[in-house]
Amino acid sequence: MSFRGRGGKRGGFGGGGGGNNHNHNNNNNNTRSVLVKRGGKQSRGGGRRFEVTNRNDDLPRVVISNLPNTTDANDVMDYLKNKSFRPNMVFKGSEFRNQKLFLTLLRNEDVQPLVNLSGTRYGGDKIFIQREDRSSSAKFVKQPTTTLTLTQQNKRADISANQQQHQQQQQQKISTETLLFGLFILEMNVIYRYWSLSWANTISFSHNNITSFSGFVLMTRFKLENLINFNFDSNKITDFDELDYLSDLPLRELLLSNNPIASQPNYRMEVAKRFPDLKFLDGVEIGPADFPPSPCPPLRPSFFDTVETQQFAYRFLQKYFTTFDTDRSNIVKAYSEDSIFSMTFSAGDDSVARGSVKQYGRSNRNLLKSLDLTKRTQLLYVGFEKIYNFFKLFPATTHNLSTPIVDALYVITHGFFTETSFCTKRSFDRVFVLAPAPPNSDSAKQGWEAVILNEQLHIRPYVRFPRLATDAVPPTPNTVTPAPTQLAAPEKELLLQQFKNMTSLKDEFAIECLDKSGWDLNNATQTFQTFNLSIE
Amino acid sequence: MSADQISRQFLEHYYNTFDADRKALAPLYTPQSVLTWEGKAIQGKDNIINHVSSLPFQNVKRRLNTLDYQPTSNGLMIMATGDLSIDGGNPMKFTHIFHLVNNAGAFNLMNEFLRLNLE
Repeated sequence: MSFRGRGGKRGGFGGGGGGNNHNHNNNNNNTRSVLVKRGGKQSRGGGRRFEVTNRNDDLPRVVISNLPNTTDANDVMDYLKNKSFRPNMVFKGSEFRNQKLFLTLLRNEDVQPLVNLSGTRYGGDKIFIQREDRSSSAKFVKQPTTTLTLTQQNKRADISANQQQHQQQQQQKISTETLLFGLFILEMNVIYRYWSLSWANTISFSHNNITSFSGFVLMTRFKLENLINFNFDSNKITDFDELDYLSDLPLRELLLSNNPIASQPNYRMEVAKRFPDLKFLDGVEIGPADFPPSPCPPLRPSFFDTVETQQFAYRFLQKYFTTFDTDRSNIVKAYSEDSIFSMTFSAGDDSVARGSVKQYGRSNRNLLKSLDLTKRTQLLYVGFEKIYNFFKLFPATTHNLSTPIVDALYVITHGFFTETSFCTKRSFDRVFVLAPAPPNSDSAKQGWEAVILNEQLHIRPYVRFPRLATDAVPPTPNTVTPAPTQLAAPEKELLLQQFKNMTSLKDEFAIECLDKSGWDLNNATQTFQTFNLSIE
Repeated sequence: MSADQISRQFLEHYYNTFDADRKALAPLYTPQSVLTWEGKAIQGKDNIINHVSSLPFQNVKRRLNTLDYQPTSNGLMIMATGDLSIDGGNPMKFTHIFHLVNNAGAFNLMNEFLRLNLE
């Protein structure tokens, strides 16, 4: 961890915000900015002081979050009046926005009692009440350490330093990395709580001399799932491994320009590999050209021989996992007395036994481990009764159904589930060999189209879903993919090369052109010529 | 021979042959066999052999993490998981599933699935 800030004694993101209130927005006339000023050394001993200048040109408002979906604002107001023992409290208005309730108050002194009620239960759920911070203006101060610009309209949080300070920072390096690390966490917490960073989708840490992302790994602990655009422009990141600290964030856009890492070989591919959701890197869309040919076959999405199989497999999995997660006792109907189940488990390098590691370990029928015949036989569960008894002991789970990878014929699915009680994520591979459910059998009566003949479950440490090759999109119902697009990747590559030679088009345009022409060289050339004429 | 021994010997045979000469895998397959290789289905002995022998890599290092088998109505289903490294690249997780079918005392590979899993 090394956030090299200016002056080790000061807290902050290591940026000096020399009294500037600079925004990266071009159209931010009505953005609301908060300049967080911190008196240098005071920040050290817990005496952190935040001064926000309120314009007071509006009535005070509070924000209430985590309310049940159907909530009557009047009911909430009555509830709050009673709960705070302030029957004379006057509300001047209410507004629902982004699943939050904004209440306008007549009197300032009513705000604190309401905020104190944060955490109280309303309709069974804890609700959170905060003072809305909205009418604050930036003010120049002599020695600010960090400029934190929150521009709510544009959903940006800017924790950047500008370039002049960049020079100064280099001269005053932080010695105690731990101190800064702790401060950073505190900082994120404070930002999140007091300024509700949850609305932001863009955060900028540019010009901060950041050399490592290890401190950012804790960002994943805060509910910042809206944060999808990160700006780390002009920092000091050199190593691809640093990116792994961020890989749990669902990044959509990332700026790493003016970092040493950006001049590394295969820079774009290495970054894209780590962030499956990433669409733009340094302002340029991630495309096939970013993945140079490699002997490793690309990871591909699901395969089905026909649309019917696909539908069948998805129906089966949907029913299976929904039942498994929410109504475990009924899973028994998916099995017959001849069904066979077994599981294997790899604990991974993670030596900390979290979640149900022990339990998986006990049932691990990994034949590479020396198991005697009795044990081997015991761990092969035959018949619905034994299988069900095993599942009764299996931890409560939530399977992620949105992105399973499926190979049909046999239904083989790869995905992840969450152990509900420990919040531990694990990846799994699960093989089902299915047979049609006999008519009038118990299974058929319960709506199972198929019974499971064999099932093998493998549980392994959680890994995020990778970026999948895009050339083999699973067929969607009622769409017939034209034959030429089903060319194998190497053939496409050859075509692409030929087409590029003929037209001198850039990869992305060449691919687009070929895509539109069904990967037919003649058609594509024609399309290209027509298009060329139209712009000349 | 027990199913356990069959599974082990089969895997050893399969991977040794795959590494030495992929064409020599031919006797395992029948014209009905289906290989699903990373979501691409290939049916028939000749097609399968063509596919595996035209894969663009040379050296595969494997480390098996788990191995399990289950008896099926007419054969044996084997599921192996582990890490593999292609031509010295970074190790990737894989899942390899074989369905062996007993054909007059000899085993044929009826279905085979390979997935590289989430690096």
